Amino acid sequence: MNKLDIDQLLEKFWSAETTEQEEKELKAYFEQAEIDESHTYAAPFFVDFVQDNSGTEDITHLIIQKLIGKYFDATSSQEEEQLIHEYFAQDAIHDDLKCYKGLFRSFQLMGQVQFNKPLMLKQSPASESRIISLTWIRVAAAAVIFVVGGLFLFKSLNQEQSAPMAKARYIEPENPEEALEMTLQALAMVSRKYKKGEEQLLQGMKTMNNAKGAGN
Amino acid sequence: MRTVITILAFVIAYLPAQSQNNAIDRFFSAYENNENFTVVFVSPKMFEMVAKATNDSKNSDIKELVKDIRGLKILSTKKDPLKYYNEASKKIPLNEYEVLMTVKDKGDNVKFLTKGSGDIVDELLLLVGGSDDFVLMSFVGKLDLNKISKLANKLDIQGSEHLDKLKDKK
Repeated sequence: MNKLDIDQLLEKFWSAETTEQEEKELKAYFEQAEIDESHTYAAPFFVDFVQDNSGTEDITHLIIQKLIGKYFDATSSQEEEQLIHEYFAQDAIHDDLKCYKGLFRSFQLMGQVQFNKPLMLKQSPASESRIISLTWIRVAAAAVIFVVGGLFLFKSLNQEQSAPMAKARYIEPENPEEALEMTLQALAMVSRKYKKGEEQLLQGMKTMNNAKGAGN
Repeated sequence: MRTVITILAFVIAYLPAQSQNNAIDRFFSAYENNENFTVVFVSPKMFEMVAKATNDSKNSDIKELVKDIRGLKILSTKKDPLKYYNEASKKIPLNEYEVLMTVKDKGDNVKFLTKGSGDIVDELLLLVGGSDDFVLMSFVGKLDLNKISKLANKLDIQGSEHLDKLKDKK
């Protein structure tokens, strides 16, 4: 690009008649090292302009910052979140937002995490068997309770039945007189046997005495 | 799991406690369903009534003795008396009962057993096993052995009468 062209473009620029393409050309001119001395006066302006352009990029970072604010308020939409993630997925991250870089990248990574270890599959049947054994314990407990309960019931029923339904001849006195009579009969038997025992004892002693006497 | 163990422990602890409450009761209940046996049972309640009824009795010895009896149980049979005698002899727990007297007379075996110490015993057990009869007799109460031995002579005459009646009843 020659000096005249730049002059023309600059004039156009000052009168705000430049097209975007022409502005870009100017910018490119001032960014390069060989700037004509007569143009240097405009250089800071265009360098500023370049910075301004980066300022327009700053707007995206401001937008992202706003979106992050929404994100943390939990009011962001899915599209907005997608924008945040896309922003942090690229490398040109503004200094102000670099602190969020790790956070949002890790969020994205977490979203992509897939657990495909076979260990989990092994564990689940193990826990199933555990459940089964617990069930069996419960079943066994119930069975034990039923059996024991049934046993006691059976026993108590048997005891209730044994008195009236006994096959043995069952004699129970109906009045005190009968009871007394029975008791006396029983006592009579006791006394008879008791006497017999005493007699035997006496006899035994007698024979011993006799033996003693004979010995003497 | 812990509950199960607890329940089992209770059951195990309870079972023998229930079944071992009285060896003689167990012996009685074992033969209560055998039709060859005759069971006589005079309840403590009945003895209370007897004590009231004999309160005005002239025979003070009998009154004194009957007053002390709290229960009477008799188990008897005419079938295989010796077999049951041996069985009963084995089943009576000798750590609980003390042999008071053993009599052997013409094939008649008689055993007196007592529970408790001293002259006043908690239970008097008479076991008879001969060629004709098997009798297991249990007196429960606060029984004075001296009174019983004193009464033995007095009751003998009366007793034989009563015994005849008992035989008629059978």
